[in-house]
Amino acid sequence: MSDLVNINIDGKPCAVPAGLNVIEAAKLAGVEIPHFCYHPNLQVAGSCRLCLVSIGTPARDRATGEPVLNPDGTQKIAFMPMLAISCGTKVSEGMHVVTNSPQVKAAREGVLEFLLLNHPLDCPICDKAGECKLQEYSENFGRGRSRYVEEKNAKPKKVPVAGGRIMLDAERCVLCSRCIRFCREIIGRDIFGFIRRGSKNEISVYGDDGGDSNYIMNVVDGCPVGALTEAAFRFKMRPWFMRVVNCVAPESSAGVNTNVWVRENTIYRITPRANPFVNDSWTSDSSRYEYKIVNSDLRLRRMRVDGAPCEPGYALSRAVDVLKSDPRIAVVASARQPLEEQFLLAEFASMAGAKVYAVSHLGEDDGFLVSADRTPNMRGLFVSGLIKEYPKPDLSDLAAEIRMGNIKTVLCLCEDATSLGLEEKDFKLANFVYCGVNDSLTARLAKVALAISSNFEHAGLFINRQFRLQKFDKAVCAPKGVLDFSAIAVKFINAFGASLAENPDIGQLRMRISEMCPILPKGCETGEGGVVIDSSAFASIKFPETKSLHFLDNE
Amino acid sequence: MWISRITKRICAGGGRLEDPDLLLSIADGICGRTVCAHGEGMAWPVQSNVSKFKDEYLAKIRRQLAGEGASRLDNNSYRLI
Amino acid sequence: MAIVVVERKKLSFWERTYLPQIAGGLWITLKNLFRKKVTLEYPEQRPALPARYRGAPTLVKDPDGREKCVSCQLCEFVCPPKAIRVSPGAIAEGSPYSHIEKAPAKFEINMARCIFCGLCQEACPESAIVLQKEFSVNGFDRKSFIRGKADLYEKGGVLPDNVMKWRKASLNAEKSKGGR
Repeated sequence: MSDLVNINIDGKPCAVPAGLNVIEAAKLAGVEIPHFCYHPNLQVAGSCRLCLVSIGTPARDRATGEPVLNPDGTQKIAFMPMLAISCGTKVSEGMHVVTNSPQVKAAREGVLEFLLLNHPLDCPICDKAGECKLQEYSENFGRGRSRYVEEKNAKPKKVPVAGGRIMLDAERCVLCSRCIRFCREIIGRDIFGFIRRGSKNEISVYGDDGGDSNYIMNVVDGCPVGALTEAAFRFKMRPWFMRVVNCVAPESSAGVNTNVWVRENTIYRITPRANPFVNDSWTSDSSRYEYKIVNSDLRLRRMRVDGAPCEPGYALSRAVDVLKSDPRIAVVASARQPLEEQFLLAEFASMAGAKVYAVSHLGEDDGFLVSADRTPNMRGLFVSGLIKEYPKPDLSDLAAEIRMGNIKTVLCLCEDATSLGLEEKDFKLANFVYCGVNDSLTARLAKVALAISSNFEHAGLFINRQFRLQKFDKAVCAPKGVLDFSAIAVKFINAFGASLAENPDIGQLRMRISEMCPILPKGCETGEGGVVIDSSAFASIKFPETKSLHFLDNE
Repeated sequence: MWISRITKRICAGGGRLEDPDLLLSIADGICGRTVCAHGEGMAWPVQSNVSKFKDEYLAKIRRQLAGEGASRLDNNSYRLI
Repeated sequence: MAIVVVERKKLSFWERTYLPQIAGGLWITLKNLFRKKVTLEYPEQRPALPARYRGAPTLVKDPDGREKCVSCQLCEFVCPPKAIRVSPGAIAEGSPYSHIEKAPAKFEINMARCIFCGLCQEACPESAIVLQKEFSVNGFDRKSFIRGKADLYEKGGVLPDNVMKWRKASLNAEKSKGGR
């Protein structure tokens, strides 16, 4: 840990790690300093002047260097005559910070008043209402009534940028320059910029509007006001109605932490959750729309036996019959399942004596938050003992075994086998039990098709490319008739002789697998940012992910 | 910009009695709270001018309110710097 | 609390017969028989409602005929029994009000839940939802109690307004409203 520095905030002494700026130090002490242009993951701009605070340092005699003392013997603190910006000032030993003096309050009122002069009266129609920093700060630190009676400036509104994914409203911009800095530093090129000057200063896009970048929508989260808003979420729902669920994006093994916003069992949007170890405060645009699978037309909603829809109870019992019918059984595991389900599957495979296959889904690694491995939990397959080597991208081995007659029953999870090397005739040679979220040719050809819950409909654990164990919570309830795979797996395991508790809850599952596997923490407790587990057992396996944010970059 | 609009409004005949105090308050709000020194460069003359000649500003505004001279406030198009 | 002893006086002979008490009661009844009656014969006679009476909420239009609601959903949030449901929508580009951007696609008030508290009228930033004088709401099944947008606008009428804040400045120059 870095050294601690003693500072005094609003009369309260505290010790904070060295190297922090005053905004972060105040946050640790529980004092909120309003700011617009400062962002913890971007370079400091210091242009908004809202974070002005009164800073004083221990006074020293100019000639001798001796500390100057107060009449009562304590160290005299010399406060600077002008206020200083707290985002740009790093803490130093003995510093005193005052955020509640009349001078600081007047400064905040003044800055907010100037920002609100030309700000349009858009709160009822602005999407950011409820999560708008300007609203919060005006309420807490602002003047209350406007003294401006002149006409306001008009600027372009409702401008689609980023290929139509973002709506720009230049009148609402408070000129914090976070979008400009984000594009310049994180994406790497200039997309946003200021044009004109004085009160006509407005934000605009240059010729290339960033539509081809997969990270441009992070500016929507960065923008403190409603100048940049998500077009897909426009006018859909107000933030105060929605509840936030902590989830992990299932798009790739980067394991980006997300917030899923839900109201009454409908997901409205996904935004990134800050995790300094995994994704800073960013996420890729493609992972923002993963929730569409919950209600898509492709969704498998009813269980099927021999192609005919049926009740879940009957389908399950038929599935058990199929699985017990022949001891030459194989299991196709999925790297998209959470860890608890993978452990249950491993237990089933060992009890049934099944051979385990898996498929890797590879894409191009973009060096940031979309890794080459497009499944969230490939490493979970290794940790649960299901596989020992990195799987091939298809099921040709399984197809060969079926055609040779060595496999007569297959339990296939979430993989569309017909696009991975199997053909229709294989479905006649072996009995398939398919458990999946989406309907596919495999589901239609399988003897028994069981509909299971998607990753937004159950809680679970993923292990990302850093071998970090992260947990995610249940966002919505699955549609009626769809079961959790953990309940199904327990039924299968019990059919083979065990006597596990039916419908286990997630806490029991996690405690059980942490007991079965020593490298997992007790009860699978992951803490705030996830916990990195010991991966030395898998050091010899060649994973396809390459250097990326917080991964192999010596960070 | 706000200061320029208020002064233009006063020149055009639409000044209010609270405007000189408002000008001083705005200028105080700029000094010491900007990134660039041009803010103070613009605000200091306003502070010194209005505080030293405030009675002249108020006299002009009172004359306008009493109706002397043609009020040019119908022209709402302020040309900005 | 201290104990207070209540003194009970012994009743006199006449009082024990209860005749004076009965006579007193009958006298009060007789007096009231000849007083002016306050009974209102509803439904032929309706009560005189004060000007700000809190009846059923309605949506109003402004003098230009524009629907005032911009579906900000503040009324939905503040409503204690959650009687209001709003689905916001966008205003079409060609409309003369496209600069306002938002209008409700659906606006429903469930009169079975509404408690006529008036918080929605207080919360509305556009003065678009106004409680008017209707106090008797009936229906034969629960579904008929849910009033949709068209119904609410029809019951609402026009709210007189001399500020007209959404009118564009170019129009205002002619109407000489002025900025102050």
